[in-house]
Amino acid sequence: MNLLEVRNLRVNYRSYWYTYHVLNDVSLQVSQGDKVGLIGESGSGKTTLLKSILQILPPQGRIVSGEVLWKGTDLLKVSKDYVTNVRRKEVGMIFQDPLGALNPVFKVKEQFLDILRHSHSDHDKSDHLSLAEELLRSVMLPDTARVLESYPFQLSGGMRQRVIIAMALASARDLLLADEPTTNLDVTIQDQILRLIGELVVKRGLSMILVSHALGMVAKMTHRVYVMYAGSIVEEAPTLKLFSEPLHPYTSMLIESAPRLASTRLGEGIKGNPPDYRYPPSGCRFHPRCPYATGICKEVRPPNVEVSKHRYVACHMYSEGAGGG
Amino acid sequence: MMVMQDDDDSSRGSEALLTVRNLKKYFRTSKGLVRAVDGVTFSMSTGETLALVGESGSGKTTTAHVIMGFYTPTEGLVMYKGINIGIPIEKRPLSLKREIQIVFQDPATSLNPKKTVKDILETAVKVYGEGVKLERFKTILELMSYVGLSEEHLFKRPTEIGGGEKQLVALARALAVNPAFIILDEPTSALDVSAQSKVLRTLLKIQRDRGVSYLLITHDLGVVRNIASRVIIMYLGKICEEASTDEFFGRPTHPYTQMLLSSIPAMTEEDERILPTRIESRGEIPSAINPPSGCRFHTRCPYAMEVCRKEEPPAFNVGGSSHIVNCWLHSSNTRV
Amino acid sequence: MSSDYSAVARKEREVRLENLKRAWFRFSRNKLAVAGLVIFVTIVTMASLAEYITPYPSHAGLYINFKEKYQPPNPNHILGTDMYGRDVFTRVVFGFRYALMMVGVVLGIVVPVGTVLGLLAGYYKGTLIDHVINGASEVFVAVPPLVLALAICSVLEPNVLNALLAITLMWWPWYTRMIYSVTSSLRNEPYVWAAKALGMRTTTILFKELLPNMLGPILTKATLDASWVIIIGASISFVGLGAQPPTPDLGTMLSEYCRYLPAYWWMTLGPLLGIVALVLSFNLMGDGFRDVFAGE
Repeated sequence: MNLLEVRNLRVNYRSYWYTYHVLNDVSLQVSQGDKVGLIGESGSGKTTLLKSILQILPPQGRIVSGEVLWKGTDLLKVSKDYVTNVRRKEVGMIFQDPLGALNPVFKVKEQFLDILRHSHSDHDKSDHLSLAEELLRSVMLPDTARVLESYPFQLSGGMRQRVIIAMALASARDLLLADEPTTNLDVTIQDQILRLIGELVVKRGLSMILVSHALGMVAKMTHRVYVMYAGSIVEEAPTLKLFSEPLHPYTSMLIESAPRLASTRLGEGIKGNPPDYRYPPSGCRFHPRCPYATGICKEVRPPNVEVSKHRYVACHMYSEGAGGG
Repeated sequence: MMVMQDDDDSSRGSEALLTVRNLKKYFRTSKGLVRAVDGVTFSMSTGETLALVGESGSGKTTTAHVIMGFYTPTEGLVMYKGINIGIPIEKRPLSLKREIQIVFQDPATSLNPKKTVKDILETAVKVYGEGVKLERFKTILELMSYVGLSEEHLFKRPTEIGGGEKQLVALARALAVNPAFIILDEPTSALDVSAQSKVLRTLLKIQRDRGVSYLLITHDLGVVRNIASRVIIMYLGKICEEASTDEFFGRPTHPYTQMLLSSIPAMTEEDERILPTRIESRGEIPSAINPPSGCRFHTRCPYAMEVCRKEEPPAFNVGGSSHIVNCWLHSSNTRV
Repeated sequence: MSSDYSAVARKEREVRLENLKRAWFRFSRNKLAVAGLVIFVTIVTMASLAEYITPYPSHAGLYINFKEKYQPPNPNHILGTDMYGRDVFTRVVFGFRYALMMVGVVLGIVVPVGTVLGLLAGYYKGTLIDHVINGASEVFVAVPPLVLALAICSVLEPNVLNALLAITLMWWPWYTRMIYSVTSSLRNEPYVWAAKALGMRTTTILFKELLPNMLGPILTKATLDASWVIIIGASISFVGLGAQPPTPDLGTMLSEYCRYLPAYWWMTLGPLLGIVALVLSFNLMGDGFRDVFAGE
C-alpha cells in the first residue's frame, strides 16, 4: 500500500467573477521511503497540490473531485479532526517563505512548544523542551538555548530555515513536504540546507515530496520526479532518466531552457505564456505552446501512457494509433 | 581619494570603459559601520560582459549602485570613459545618465504597476525630447518588436503579463535611451527557466547588434557561463578571484570559488563533471559590520593557515590571461 | 504608418473605456455605494437647479410672511414653514448649494496642496524640505481643529469665507501626512530608481510615476472627508461663527430653528435631513471607491 496516493484530484479557485480551474485530474503516489520531486514553472499548481493534500487551501480553493488516500484512508471523506491529526503528527511541511513561516513577535521557544503541544500531545509537557532541543541539535543548531530564546529576526536566514525544518520534523513522522525549501537563501547556505534535509529524511526513514523550480536541486535530492504543467502532471520518471532523456515536449523544453554549467548552449525557451486558468486550453493544456501539436491535441486530453517501467507520459505522441511520432 | 591620484594614468589602460579603483562604500547603521564594499578594483573594456558574482552581503549590488550613482563612494574612484562619475545621479549630466542604464532583478517592482507598457516606454522615450507623437509611437513599436514583444502587449499593465515579458519591457525601456553600458542586476533570478532563456537570448542579441557592454550582477553561475566574458567573484566586500569565463570554469582556484561551485546542484552528470573537487559548504556568511581579520574567508575556509587570519591576501597572478586570485595558498605566484 | 497609428489610438481608447467599465462594475457591486451615488447626483441636480425646482425661490433669503409662519408639513410646504413663514424645503435645497460649495472649495484647495506638499516632503525625506513641511503640518495638527476654526472665525469677521479658510487651514496636514508616508516608502521602489537612471525630471517622477499610485487612497479619503467638511462647516455655522442669517446655510438654519424645538420640530427636521442625506451619500460613495481600488 502506498503511503500517499492522490487520485484524479481537481481543484478550483473561485473569485467573485471567475472560476480558476487549477488542478486538472492530478494523480500521484508516494510509497514508504520515497523521495519524490515535483517540478514545473511557478503557477503550475505545485503548491496548490501540496495544500490540497493537507487541506489547507485558502477559502477560495475548492476540491471538486478526486481522492487523497493517506495510508489507505481518503482524507476528503473523514472528519476535520482526523485530517488535523494527520497534519499535526504525521506530515510535516516546510513552507516557501522562511520569514512568513515564523511569527516575528514570539520567541522561537514559544512557537516551538506550541507545535510540540499538538504534535506530541501524548508526551508529558515537561519533555517538550528537551524534545525541542533535541530537534534543534538534529538540524545542526548546537547552541539550542540561545536559539530558543531568540526572536526570528535575530537569527540569520540559514538558521531560521533550520528552525523551520526542526519544527516540520516535529510533526513529520511519515512524510515531509518541502515547498521550495531554500528560496531566498544563498547558494552555499542552500547547499548546507539541502544536505541536511537529505540526511534527515534518510535517518528518520521519512518519505518526501520536494517541490521546486530549480531543476538541479530536484535532480540531486530525489529519485522520482513528477513534471507539472498548468495543473496537470505531464510526465513521471525516475530522476536520472528524466534529465537524460525527457519524453514530454514540455519537459524537454524546460530542461533545455536551464542555463548549464557545462556548455554555453542556450535553450530556445518556451514560446508563449502559461495558460489562463479561467479558460484553460481544451485537450492537452500544453498544446498552444507545443511545437508538435496536432489536431488531436486540441480536442482530446492525452491519456497517461506507461512507456516503459515507471515512466509515464501524458502526450499523444506516445499513445498508440494517434499523433505523430 | 588623494592616494589614488598617482597611479591614475597607468590605470587608464588601452580603452577602459569603466575603471573602479579601490572603491569603498560604508553605511552607517545603528548597529555599526557596515563595510559593504571594501576596496574593490577592476576595469572593463567596451563590448564585454563582466560578471560580478557573490552571495548576499558580498557587495556586488552596492558596487553596481555606486556606479549608477544611487550612492556616492566613501572612498576610491569610479571612472567612466575617463570621467570621474563618483557623483550622485541627480548631479550627473543627462548625456551621462543616458549612457549608463540599469535593469533590476524583479520586473514586478521595476515597472510602475499603474502604467501600461506603452506609457512606460513612452515616458522613457520622452526623456530625450518630446518629439512628434507619431514618431514616438513608431519608436515604441520598434523597441517592442526588437526585444520580441508583440503589439498586443501595448496596452497591458505589468500585472497582466508574464514575468519574462515584464523583464523584456524593462529591457526595452533601458534601450529607449540608447545606452552604451547596461548594468544587469540579477536580471533573471526572479524568472522561470523558460522565460530566463528568452531574456538571456535577447541580452546576447542586443550586445551583438549594438555593442552594448554589460556589468552582470548575479549569484547564478549558470547565467554567468552563458553570457559573461569575464568573471569577478566577491566575498564580503572584497574580490576573491578574477578570470575570463573559460579560464574560470576550467580552473576555479580560490577556495571560496570552489565552495560556491560545489554548492550548485548539478542537473546532469555532464554538469557534475565540470564542478571542481568538492569543498563542502560550511559556516555562515559573517556580518559586514565586523568582518573577519586577514582574509575574510578564513572562518569558512578548509585550507586556512595562520597567515590568513592575520594578513589580508594580496592579488596573485596564477597564469592564464590575467587570472587573479586573492589567496595566500597561491603566494608562490607573482603579485599583481 | 499613420493608419496604423490611428488603429492603435482607437485600441487605446477602447482599453481605457474597458478599464472604466471594469471600475464601474466593481463600484456597482456595492449596492449601498450606488445608492450613495444616486442621492449625491440628486442633491447636486437639485442644488444647481434650485431656482427652477423649488416652489418658493424667494424664500431662500430675506423674506417675511407672518401669515404663513409655523405651518407644519402640508401639500404646499412639504417640510413646513419657519418663524418668518419661509418654506423650509426651499431653504434646504438652497442650503445644499452652500454645503457643496464648501466641500468644493475646501477639498479643491486642501487635496492638491496637501498632496503636493506630501509628495515633496516624502520624496525629499530627511532634507530641509521635509523638516519644514512636516514641522508646519505638526503645528496645525497639534491645534484641535474646531478650536482653530473658532479662533479664526472669532478674530476675523464671522462669515462663510472665513469659515472656509479655517477649515482649509486645519485640513491640509492630513493629506500631507498620508501622501508623505506613501511617498517615502514608494520612492525607494525600483521603478523610481529606473526613472532616475533614465534621466526623468523630478516633476515627472513625482506626478507621472508616484502620483498615479496614490490616486485610489486620495479619492477615497477625499470622499469620506467631504462628509466631515459638511459636519464641521455646519458646526461652525451652528455656533454662529460661519454663515450668518438669513443665508440659507444648513448649519445656520439648524442653529436658528433648534430654538423652536420641540413644538415646531419640522423646522429642525428639514436641515437635519439635508445634512444627513449629504453626509450619508459621501460616506457610501467613499466605501464604493475603496472597493474599486482594493479590487485592482
